[in-house]
Amino acid sequence: MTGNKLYGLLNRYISGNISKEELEKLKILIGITDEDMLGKRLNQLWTEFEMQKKPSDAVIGEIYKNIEQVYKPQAVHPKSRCALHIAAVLLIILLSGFSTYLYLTRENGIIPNRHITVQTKRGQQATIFLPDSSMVRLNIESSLQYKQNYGYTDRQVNLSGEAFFEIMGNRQKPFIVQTGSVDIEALGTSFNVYSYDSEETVEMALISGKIKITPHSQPENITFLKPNEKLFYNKHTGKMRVEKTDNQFETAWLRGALVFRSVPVRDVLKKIERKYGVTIHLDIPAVENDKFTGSIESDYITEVMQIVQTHYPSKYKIEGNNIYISPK
Amino acid sequence: MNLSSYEKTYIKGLNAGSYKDFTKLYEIYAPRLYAFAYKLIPSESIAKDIVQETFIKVWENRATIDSNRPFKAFIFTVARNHLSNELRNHINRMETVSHPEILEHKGYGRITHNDMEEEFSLTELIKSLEQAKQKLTPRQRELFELNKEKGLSVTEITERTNLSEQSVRNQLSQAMQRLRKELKNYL
Repeated sequence: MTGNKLYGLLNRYISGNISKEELEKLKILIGITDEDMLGKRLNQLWTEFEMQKKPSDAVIGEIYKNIEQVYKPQAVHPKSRCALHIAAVLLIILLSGFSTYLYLTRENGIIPNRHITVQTKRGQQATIFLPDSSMVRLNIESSLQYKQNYGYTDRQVNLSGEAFFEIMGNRQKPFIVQTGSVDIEALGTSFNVYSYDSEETVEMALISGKIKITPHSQPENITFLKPNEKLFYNKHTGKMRVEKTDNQFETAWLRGALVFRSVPVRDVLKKIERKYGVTIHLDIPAVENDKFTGSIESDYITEVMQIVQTHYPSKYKIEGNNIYISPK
Repeated sequence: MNLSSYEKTYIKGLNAGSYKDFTKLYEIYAPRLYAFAYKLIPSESIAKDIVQETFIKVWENRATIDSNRPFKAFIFTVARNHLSNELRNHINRMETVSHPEILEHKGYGRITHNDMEEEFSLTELIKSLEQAKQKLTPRQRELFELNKEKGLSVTEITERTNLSEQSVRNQLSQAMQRLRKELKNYL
């Protein structure tokens, strides 16, 4: 017996004509070999490797673009992200100061009546303190609009996107959130509204207090929500349905968690990859297009993987920054 | 100029920070590396990853690349660990007959009867492995079997055996060294 049996097996393996027994042998030998030896054998293969079929230009071009995004001179500098964060923080400080200023000046009767709009971009969130100390947390890619005379005659805001409200009680002036399709009226209360233009369904969940919801298309169809309840309103069909909900889930985004509402698993994994700085290799093709609803709050990728496991019977393996998910 | 002298000018350009020369080298070697990676691990996303990371490293180390060395050899050293890790994973996850199964259900002698051309049989390899394992301490053997044959991670083994992680790693690495020595004719 002379050496290089591993090489022989590898050679058959990449030429695509390896038997099951040989594969088993390869598996055993690869299990025993060290990096050095395996590297040497791969080097041998590489030196002798003849490319039979050129990979498509599309694939090679796509990888090139990815690299270019990171490294081409004048590519987007990571600093600009940081600047956005600072801008968001400043925005909060400025707005709360500004509203207080307005609130004070209003007492003197000088009330300009323009709209104030707070808008968040990708990756930005904002906290807005309204003049009456009600608080609004605005999630990504959302906008909240209110008049400068907010609270003077009424308390009305306009929302597109997602926001969490904590509203100060005021029997005389109910708080009203207008969205593109429904109006939500609240007394003193906290609730979450999920109303992106691109989504077919508007979701409203009540954490405490009481809210009244009036759909624009059928104003007679008023619905009241109790705490821990959530209303789904379909913008196209006008159908409404109330379900029990979990406050932890509704407010998860406030704590920086990833929240998914019926999102294809493929996209869920992409978000996880980005947040945790890992690369996920999913080896269960049937699952990729499944829709996932849930929130992921953990700081630890292992806990995240356990969540994935409870949804899909699977096992995972972590190696460096790579995570392999395979069928159980 | 032949290809290698072109290559030399590209590498020198790359040394000086030319993205254009980087692109030239990419055009020549990315398809080849992709094709090779794809042969080893038939997954488009893994092959893409390997090419991407390799060339990112090339760019990051652009100043120190030796223009007197063939770029083909250089690019392999950059990609080597990534390739071998992915290959290991892939092969480990491939469905094969695991050896206890073979030993139980198929019997020692029958496995390779239609495999005459082989210079060594699976039976022979398993036998050699078993013999090599006899040279390990019982603890080392146990750890090897848990890790390599049952596929448990070091952490999982720690939980099962009450050994510290460091101790599991040390003993495993000793076991592997011993086995490699015993089986070096195969590698």
